[in-house]
Amino acid sequence: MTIVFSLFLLSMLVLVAVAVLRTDNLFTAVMLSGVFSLIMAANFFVLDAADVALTEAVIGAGISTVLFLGALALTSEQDRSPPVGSWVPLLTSSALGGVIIYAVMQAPRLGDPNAIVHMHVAPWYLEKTPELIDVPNVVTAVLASFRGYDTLGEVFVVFIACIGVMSLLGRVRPRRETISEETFSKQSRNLRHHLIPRVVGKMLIPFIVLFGLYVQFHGDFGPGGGFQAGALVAAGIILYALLEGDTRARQLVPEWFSSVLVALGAFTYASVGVACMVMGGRFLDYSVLDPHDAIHGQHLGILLVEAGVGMTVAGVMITIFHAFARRGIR
Amino acid sequence: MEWIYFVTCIGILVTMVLAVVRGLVGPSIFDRVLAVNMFGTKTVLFLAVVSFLSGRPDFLDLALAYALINFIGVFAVLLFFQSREVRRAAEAENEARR
Amino acid sequence: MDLLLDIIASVCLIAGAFLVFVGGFGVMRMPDFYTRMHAASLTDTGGAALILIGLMLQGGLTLAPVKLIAIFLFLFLTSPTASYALANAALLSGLKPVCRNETGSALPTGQVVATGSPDAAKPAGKPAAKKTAPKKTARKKTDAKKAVKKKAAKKPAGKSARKSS
Repeated sequence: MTIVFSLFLLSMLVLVAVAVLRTDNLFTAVMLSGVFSLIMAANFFVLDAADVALTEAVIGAGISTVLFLGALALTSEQDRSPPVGSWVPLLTSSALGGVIIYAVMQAPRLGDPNAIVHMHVAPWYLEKTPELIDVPNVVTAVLASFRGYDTLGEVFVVFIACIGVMSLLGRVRPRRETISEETFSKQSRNLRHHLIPRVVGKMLIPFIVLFGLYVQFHGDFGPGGGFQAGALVAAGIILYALLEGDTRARQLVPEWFSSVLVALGAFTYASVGVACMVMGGRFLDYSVLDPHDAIHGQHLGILLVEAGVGMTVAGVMITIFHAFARRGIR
Repeated sequence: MEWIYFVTCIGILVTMVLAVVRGLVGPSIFDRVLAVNMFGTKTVLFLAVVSFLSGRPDFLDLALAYALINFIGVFAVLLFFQSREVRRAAEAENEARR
Repeated sequence: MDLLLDIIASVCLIAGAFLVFVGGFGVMRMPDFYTRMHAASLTDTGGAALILIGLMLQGGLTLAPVKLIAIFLFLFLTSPTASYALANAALLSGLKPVCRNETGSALPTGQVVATGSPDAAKPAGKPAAKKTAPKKTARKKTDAKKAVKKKAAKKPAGKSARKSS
């Protein structure tokens, strides 16, 4: 059954990828890349990787499309032909693709129980999680506790990406040309005069934020966690910004607040690690957080760490959206 | 009962293929946005049915998350087209001035 | 009782899958953007409702039917709104629906009828606008035929002009 689903989904993936490359209207490319992310999310889901599917669906198909459209509003829609000829990139990518295909042929079959990766680390995680951490979702246990260093690195990568975007787009350039009063007054940077989207959208924003909080705290028991939750909360705020305009959205969630959120999230994660060291254990060893009960210490550590991740991701998405939206025509 | 789920999944997958074809072919850009929106709702249904097929109703969270996220893209498209009008008027004005 | 629930759920699921497929088929076959949106909305509301009701009947008394009700409510609220927003965007950019004349035959699809506003001659995304010259009275079949004949007559004239130069 998985084979039939994967057959459909992967062939659609190839078609959409070829179409994204071949089209010369960038708007079409943005829409088709949203479809690409959705097909990948469905593919991950069919392969039983629910956390990854949730992250891909929310970030790849939801927020990325909005950010790409925001960037597209600042440039033109037609793709320019590249200055270099297309033979060198074609040869390079064909060579690389050939190497990757050769390497994939050597990999074990999907789901093979005798594969090396299933023999040492994976059974250890599956055995030790109920004993040491006792959360039903092993993915969250691995992500937040067993491989906590990697997740710390990811949070800091997201933080650095935000700093990069803010340093490139943060300062508003002075306008080179002025537009007439008539055009300025005609411009509508929001959807306020469309009554139906405004009413329905505003009704849904609290549910999106609430669902984001649910995903954040439910990450121990089902698919979820900090990354998905942060993206969902940011999606709610971005929806408000689309409906009511950038100015009012910045009154709702001020820029200093989202910047503080970004830094506070990364700081929370790192300080949990330092607190573990202060209390006698190693860096990011949550068991020492509760002197009486190691498992409760692990739960507390995972809660704080995921909260830090969620705060950073939400702040970063909102900051990047405002960085693009603010540079629109004035 | 699994066969009924499987047949439903095949039906939804075929519709997803049709939506993608419309997205690739569609002569105007609005056809493509329509195809993307339709693909999104089909994905929500597909995720719901497959979560029941594989016996894990916990995975309905994904379908719910995507049902909430799906229409943000369409609103962004609407705002994009609206601001495109203003941008074109402004460009025409600047061209006329030069 | 279980068997009855199973049968009703199966009927709902198969009917829902059929409606979803019909909607997809309609999106492929309909001649114009606005009619395609009608077909797509069929899948979003009717097909989704039946499939989710079928799944709800199979869910038992756990949290799953509550989540399915939530999914159904959100889909029901948001997909008509998305259709409205998309149709509004299309109308804003000048895409006109296909009109039928008195004898019932349709005009060429995608035709952008000039309304005298400066945004009627936009090039992006509407190749049909390049083919048809702006004409306000093109509601009769004869005029459309005349225009096609005129273009056919213009083309060889253009070719012969190029040949002679």
